Amino acid sequence: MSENSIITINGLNKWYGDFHVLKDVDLRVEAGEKIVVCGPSGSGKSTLIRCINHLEKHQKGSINVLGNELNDDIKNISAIREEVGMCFQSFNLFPHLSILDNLTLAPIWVRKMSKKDAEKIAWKYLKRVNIAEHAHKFPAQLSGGQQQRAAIARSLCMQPKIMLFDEPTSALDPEMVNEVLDVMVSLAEEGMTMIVVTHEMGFARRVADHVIFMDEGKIVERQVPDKFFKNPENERTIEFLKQIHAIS
Amino acid sequence: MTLIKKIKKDYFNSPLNSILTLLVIFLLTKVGIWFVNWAFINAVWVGDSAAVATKNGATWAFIVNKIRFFMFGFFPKDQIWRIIVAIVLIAMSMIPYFIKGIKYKIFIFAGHMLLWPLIIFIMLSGGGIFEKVSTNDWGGLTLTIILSLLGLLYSFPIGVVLALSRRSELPVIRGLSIAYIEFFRGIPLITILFMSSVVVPFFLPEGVAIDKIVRVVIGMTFFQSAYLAEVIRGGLQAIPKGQYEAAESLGFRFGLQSYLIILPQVFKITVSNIGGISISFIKDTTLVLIIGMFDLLGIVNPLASDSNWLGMEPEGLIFAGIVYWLICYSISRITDKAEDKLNTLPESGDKK
Ligand SMILES: Nc1ncnc2c1ncn2[C@@H]1O[C@H](COP(=O)(O)OP(=O)(O)OP(=O)(O)O)[C@@H](O)[C@H]1O
Ligand SMILES: [Mg+2]
Repeated sequence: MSENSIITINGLNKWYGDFHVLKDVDLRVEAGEKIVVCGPSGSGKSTLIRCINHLEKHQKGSINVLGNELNDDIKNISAIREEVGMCFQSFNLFPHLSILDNLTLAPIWVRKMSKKDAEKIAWKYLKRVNIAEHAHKFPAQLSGGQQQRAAIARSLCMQPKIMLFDEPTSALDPEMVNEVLDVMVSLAEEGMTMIVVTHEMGFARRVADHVIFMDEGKIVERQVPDKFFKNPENERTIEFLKQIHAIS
Repeated sequence: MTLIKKIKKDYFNSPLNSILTLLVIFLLTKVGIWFVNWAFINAVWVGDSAAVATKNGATWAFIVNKIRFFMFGFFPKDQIWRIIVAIVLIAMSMIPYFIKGIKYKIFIFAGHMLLWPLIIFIMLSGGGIFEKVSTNDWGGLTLTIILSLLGLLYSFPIGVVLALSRRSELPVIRGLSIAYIEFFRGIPLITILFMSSVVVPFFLPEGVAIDKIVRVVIGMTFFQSAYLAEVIRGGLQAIPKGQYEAAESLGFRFGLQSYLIILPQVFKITVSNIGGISISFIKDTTLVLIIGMFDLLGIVNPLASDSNWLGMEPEGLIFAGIVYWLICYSISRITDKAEDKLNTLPESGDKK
């Protein structure tokens, strides 16, 4: 294991019943590294990143996050989840709480912060993602883009060391995609370790240290963006990039 | 004009329908007039015995005379202040719910589960401090409220636990919860009440006596919690998976996740169902008259057997009916209001 790697996945295998979703996946992510994961629908991208914070349980192989081996110990899992933020395609804000309360809930109850400290951090991130004026509204009163930015801020309030994104812009109207991507770019510029499942190839070009292409449960190709987009090695990668018109 | 047309179209569109409409109007008027005459015009409001009764009027004097019994059962007259104090204490214990910024409201609820029976035991039973009043003398509206209040107080948390267990990933817990729910939903409440009043004492070791009221409350709790569990489970099923995942990925574990994120949303969805089921639980408390307890309904008979007031059952039953209706209607209004409040978002973000 390399000194700097903060996520190390070795020989990861996962099945849903008889269905083999992840096949011998190896992945190493270094601190501060940004990885973009792409691939056709059903290739196991979501499953892979959901294994990292144990939203999905793997059957074989090992996942080491921040020096903790992922196992079934609930304490260990919670400890890892506190350090790993996650953003979902469907935002998943808590609809019964105001945006501000959405942001302070976990810091107060999980991190045991005082309400005052939690709100201080919350305001900082609300300003960062540009929705401070909506702090007292409820999720249903916000646009999709605003909700996703609030969801990112909610994760950041836990001050995670790693951020996972599962297609954060694919449920958004096109005109809202950029406002969310901008937040993610600035997050990347600050040195956050990020694994992003997305088909926004512009984002991948701009931010990613490596792009990973997955197909049928395997990591088929891993390249720096330049090479990935200019001359990918794998047949299926080329096929995929053609389909989404991202090849140059 | 259009109204007349509409009436014509809906009620007089054929000879047969016209006849039926007229017949119904005739009967309703007839019954209405008779009832107004009986309940108000010919009614007697004051008097000391059934002798004041008129032939075609209600004898509300019976209710006026016996109102104490309707309200407090056979509780000694000079001790009734204790019931009033108990009501005030219980009402006061609810104040913390309305104080903003209390972090663990669930502990207030847990506190009530201990405090309310204690208040009732000390103030009504005497608890070794006041003159002892046997639970046999508890009755009327007081008993109805005690049974309803305690039944709901305990069945609610148990229902929540059952509902959560029924969705557990552990087969043993899920199995036990299903067995409990299906068992108690499968037998009539009246059977449970008979069991608790007749069969349970039989199995208790000698010298151990559990008061009838306690047994009834326990029996009702078993029954009601099973029904509440199903209502709450329905709400749980409506919560999207993403809510659990978001909570988990923030580091919440099962307990806090349920308390802070899942259950508040469940209550929002199910509040009107919970209100409805609470109303039927309150109405179900009337079944205790079958095991010889004199709740608001059960007390009508003994009161109407007073030799001074023979034949006053109709007045007594109508009065009891009105009180039940008032209680149930208020609860229905309150849950409607609560539902509205829970489902409207604040107008803008400037408040708070
Ligand atoms: N809970 C589940 N039970 C059974 N099969 C599942 C489950 N979740 C996912 N799958 C299957 O596993 C495969 C991989 O799913 P996954 O969600 O990881 O794909 P993905 O690459 O994220 O696709 P998409 O781009 O559509 O999000 C799919 O074929 C999917 O049908
Ligand atoms: Mg996916």
